[in-house]
Amino acid sequence: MTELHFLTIAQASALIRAKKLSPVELIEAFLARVKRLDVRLNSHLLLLEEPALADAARAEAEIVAGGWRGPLHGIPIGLKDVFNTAGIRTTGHSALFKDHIPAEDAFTVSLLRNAGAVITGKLATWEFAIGGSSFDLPWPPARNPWDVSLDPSGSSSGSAVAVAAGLCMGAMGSDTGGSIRGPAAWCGIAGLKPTYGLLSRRGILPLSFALDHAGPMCWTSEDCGLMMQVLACHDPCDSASASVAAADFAAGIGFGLSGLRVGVVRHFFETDLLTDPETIAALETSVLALRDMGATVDPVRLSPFGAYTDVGSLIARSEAYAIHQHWLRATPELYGAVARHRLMAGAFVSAADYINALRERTRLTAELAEVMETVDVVIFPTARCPARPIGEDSMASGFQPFFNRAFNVTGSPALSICNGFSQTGLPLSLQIAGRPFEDAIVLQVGHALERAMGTRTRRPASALATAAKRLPWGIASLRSQ
Amino acid sequence: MADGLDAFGMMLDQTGLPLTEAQKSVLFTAYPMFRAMVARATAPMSREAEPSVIFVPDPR
Repeated sequence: MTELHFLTIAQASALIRAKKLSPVELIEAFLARVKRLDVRLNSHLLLLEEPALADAARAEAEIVAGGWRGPLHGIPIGLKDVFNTAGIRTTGHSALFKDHIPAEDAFTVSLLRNAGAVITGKLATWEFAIGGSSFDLPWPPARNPWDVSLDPSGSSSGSAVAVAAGLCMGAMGSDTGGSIRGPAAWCGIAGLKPTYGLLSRRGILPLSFALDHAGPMCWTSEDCGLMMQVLACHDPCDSASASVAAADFAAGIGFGLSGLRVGVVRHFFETDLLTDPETIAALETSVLALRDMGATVDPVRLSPFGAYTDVGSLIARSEAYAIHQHWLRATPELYGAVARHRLMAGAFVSAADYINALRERTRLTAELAEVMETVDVVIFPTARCPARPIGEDSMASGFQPFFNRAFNVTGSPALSICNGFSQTGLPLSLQIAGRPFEDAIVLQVGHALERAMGTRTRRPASALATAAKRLPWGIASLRSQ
Repeated sequence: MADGLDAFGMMLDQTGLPLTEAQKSVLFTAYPMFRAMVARATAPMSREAEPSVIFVPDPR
């Protein structure tokens, strides 16, 4: 039988509903595992032991009394530490906010609690979701569970690490330029950036009003769908929140792909940004699997990937600078160096540049909509290569590891899944993007491919066993490497 | 860049950020990358072309 910590949400939920698994025992097992392993992985900034045990006991009592609330009841969920939690510090992984205690939960957090989810911890992030895997912050950066010398990517680093390592079953991430999908790719899990506006942003530390998305990160696409079922809810207090009919995100799970039209954005990885051969080989295997399942697969053409990067970067940096300008002037020393430099760079964008980038966003979104009339989803790799060493500053080297920003610019749903492994045993990744508010189709394709490629049976267990034998990773020891 | 250092200095002055010389130097290395992004993202458009964010008078 699968160990408790490696059950999926769907599996654990079925056992809990049937009263064959105690939420209290489940949460106790996860808390013990975090305490044993996280000294090496650094995924948790705060373990919520006492509140989690109290919530688990409450969930158990409700379920025993016949009050099962749904698939998240009694399930351990972690939160990237940019999601506000009432009475519990929410730091953005920054010294600037190390004593910040919100009065209210983020809207999405309240939805999770209402569904009976047990919040087990506040998770590591790049500083304010922009800073990089930095070593000059109050807490060390999270480490990749497949090899602790590697970067998990970010900014939802702790969320991806915790899910992959079996330290929680699902986690919340946020994604302004790929911050859910990048770490999902390098840690080998499923991460969904939903359609812009489908999930409320209220109570999440903002980075870019026009591009911020919240989303679920889980071991499988199916589990992401179970979380979406709870999270996709109109929030009248978020001006970007979409008021759309409730979707059934599990509707297509387990069904075939006959008749599905898939577009491959080949120029992204063949000419726009050179990509690792193993990643391309995994994509070609995925294409064969899609055809075997009845889909038609053809190339499609969009604007060069760099066009999206330019527009997304200009918008995100301008808005992030506007949000942080006060603190950058008043207390710049409280930021880590990477976040401070990335935020200050927003000062280089004029108002006219910003408006023109927003106009170009409209053009790029219209162009994609035209292409999406001919296909149901488009695919391409999430990451150009498997995980790279931690501490390597991709901004300084000019290396952009991910094909993510395009779908923040267009607001379309985009899911990263694990579609294979490198010869060195690291996860490879595929991204599936769909039409706005057709997140369920994206999840359906993701689930079908995960099953066809057989990637969900392999966990980073051996790397974790090795890590457990090592001395704890401290900031000082990292600097001496 | 012909106007690089002057334009950069003027922009920094406008921000009011308290920067050390070392911090200015790091930012100046990124400045050409941003100007290049701006140049690429400013395709010719009609004057009427709307940006993606417009004012909503009744957001609720």
